[in-house]
Amino acid sequence: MASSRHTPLWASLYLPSLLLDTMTTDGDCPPAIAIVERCHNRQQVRSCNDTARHAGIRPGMPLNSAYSILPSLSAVEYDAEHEAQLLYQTGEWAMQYSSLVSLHPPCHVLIEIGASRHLFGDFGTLIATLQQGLADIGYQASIGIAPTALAANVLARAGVRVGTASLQRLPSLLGELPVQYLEFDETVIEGLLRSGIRDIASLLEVPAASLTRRFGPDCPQTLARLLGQHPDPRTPIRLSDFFKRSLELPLEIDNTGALQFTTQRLVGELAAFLIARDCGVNGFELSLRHHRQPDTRLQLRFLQATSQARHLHRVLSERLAQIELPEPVIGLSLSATTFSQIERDAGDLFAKSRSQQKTLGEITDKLCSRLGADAVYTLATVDDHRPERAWQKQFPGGDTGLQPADAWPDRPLWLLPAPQPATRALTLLPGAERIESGWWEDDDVRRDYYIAHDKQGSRYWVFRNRDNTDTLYIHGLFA
Amino acid sequence: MTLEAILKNPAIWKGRQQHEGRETIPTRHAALDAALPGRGWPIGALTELMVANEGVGEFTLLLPALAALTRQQQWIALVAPPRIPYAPALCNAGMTLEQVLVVDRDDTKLQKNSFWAAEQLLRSGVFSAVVLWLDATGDERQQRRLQLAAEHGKAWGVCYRPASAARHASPAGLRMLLQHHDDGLHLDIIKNRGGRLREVTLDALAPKSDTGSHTGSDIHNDTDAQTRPLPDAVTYLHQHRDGPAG
Repeated sequence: MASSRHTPLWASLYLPSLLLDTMTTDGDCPPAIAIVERCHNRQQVRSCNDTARHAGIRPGMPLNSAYSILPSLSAVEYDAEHEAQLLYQTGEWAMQYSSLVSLHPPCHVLIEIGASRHLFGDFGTLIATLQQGLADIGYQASIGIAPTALAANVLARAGVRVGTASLQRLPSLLGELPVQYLEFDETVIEGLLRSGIRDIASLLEVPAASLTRRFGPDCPQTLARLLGQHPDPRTPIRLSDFFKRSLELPLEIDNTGALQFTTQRLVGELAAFLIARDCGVNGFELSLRHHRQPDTRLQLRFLQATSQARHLHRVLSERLAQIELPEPVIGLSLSATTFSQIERDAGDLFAKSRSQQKTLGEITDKLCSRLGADAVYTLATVDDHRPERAWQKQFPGGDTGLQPADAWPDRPLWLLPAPQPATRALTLLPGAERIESGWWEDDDVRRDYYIAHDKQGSRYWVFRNRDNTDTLYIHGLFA
Repeated sequence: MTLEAILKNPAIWKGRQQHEGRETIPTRHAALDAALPGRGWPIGALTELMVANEGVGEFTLLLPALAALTRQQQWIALVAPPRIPYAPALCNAGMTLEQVLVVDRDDTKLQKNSFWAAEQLLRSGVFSAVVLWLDATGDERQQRRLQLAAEHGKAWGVCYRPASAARHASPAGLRMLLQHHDDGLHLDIIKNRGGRLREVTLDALAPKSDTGSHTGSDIHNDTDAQTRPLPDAVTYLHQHRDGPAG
């Protein structure tokens, strides 16, 4: 008996329509799409979406027949490489739930959940969580849970929502299922059916020697792995160092509002990628592809690294709402290359100020995305005698590392961007402050500054150039 | 000694104080504190300041309260200031500059983006004070949104408006007209929710002829600045407008 506490437990995600799912758009009435492949010198339907299925199109149907049923059908060539890539990306997504994720091409992602199952509660909750998560990134999936990878695959393909962690229960749980759910070659399945073996229970009664004679040694070995009698080691996937996801749109989109559905999916995948690595993203780039025009590129930066899909999406939406599309969008891709650690809330005295900091990041990001990154900043003093150079903008929330400067002589609260010649009668208060500095640079300053007021009581910071004392310039206001 | 016990010590100034169920921020001008219910700027409400001429001390008025907030590691925001907020002057006023977020003005007539930014900041709950400068008279609906945002975010909202706005009704909790007076900055309180209408003149904000009065130790010693008695010499000009709140 192998049921020690180290018995693995697998959740298998069955993703039968990866390619179709990425082409699906939001809306009540999506266009009919079929994936087609060349088979015996003719194009035939490999799979199709619900709209096409409702019209009567079925896998295996010649493309010509499909067109005659539904002339508006969009046919897309099957791309095995792209499908493998999507499976890998889903595997990366799944790494937020476990550190051991393995791919079982073409349609399964296996997640080892033995170590983390207590985090999810019962199997029903776990299945619902995974299914919802996959739906959020736009995939239809069914999920099976079993102590062997192959049994989890069978349960997932059969859509059995009852999982088990017990090897002993596997034969009874699998027994009633038709043999078609096993991943055998079509010829093996046909042979079994011809012999009157329709369900897995009947198959398990056949002696291994007979199966080997009839179908070769792979067949009984597969069954042994299915039931956990033979080990079935799996290679975990490795995480890539950067994030890039691309989507082709089946129908072009001409307004940024309608892009939200698609960007939400991409952002959801980015968030899962970040959670799997336990890090946050400092920014990302979204490219929108057009027919003729060059790509529209949006670069977003975040004040603080974040992994929250909600926040990422809100900032992106705000930004999208600001742009004009030069042409309809036919595809988009999202890429991110710089990641950093996220500050975790610690239960210490400073917890409040940190959580404040977090929302500060969110709100400044929101402001920056609408007003531009230059328009939102904090201030700092600079040790320079020239009044124009005595301040600078800072990136908010950053660690400035600046020491509090010494006190300055009386300075106005408002500085004019450029000094303006005074056009009204001003009374100068006694006491000039001579500012001479920067003569070794281009804009050297040799000025005598005064405080002045007008008849209305407004107070100004004014100066005369020492080279030319005729003109009085206003440089600031004591607001 | 628990932190709570320490904070109960009346000598410790907490940035926000509660008075008769009203949360306020001390203005640190004794005469003005005395004129306001809860003895300070109202939290969770909008304060409207209407100014005829700029450069009369209209922003200096707020600095003691704003600077104290920043020293308590609270965030404040200046939205659409009419000119460059000059860091050395803010520094002289005792501000911790890292806690001051500036949002540049947008140069459109209606200042929609500035208004939007102020509303977001007030509502966020992150900012203790948000000061907005509006050029246009604006309308009541807009001011109501700011007032609601301040309530929602429990922030002190301040909005500078042209003097002409004083003629129109506003949902702001506190409204005053600021004018230069020979004795100092003259505050005509035209709406004071829960308090009385009156006029106050702050002579500490009168023009000073001695430019060397600020010294480093005077301004930058934090503990000093927080516990020292307030220096404002204060004149009550009139109290003839005493009456029910408007």
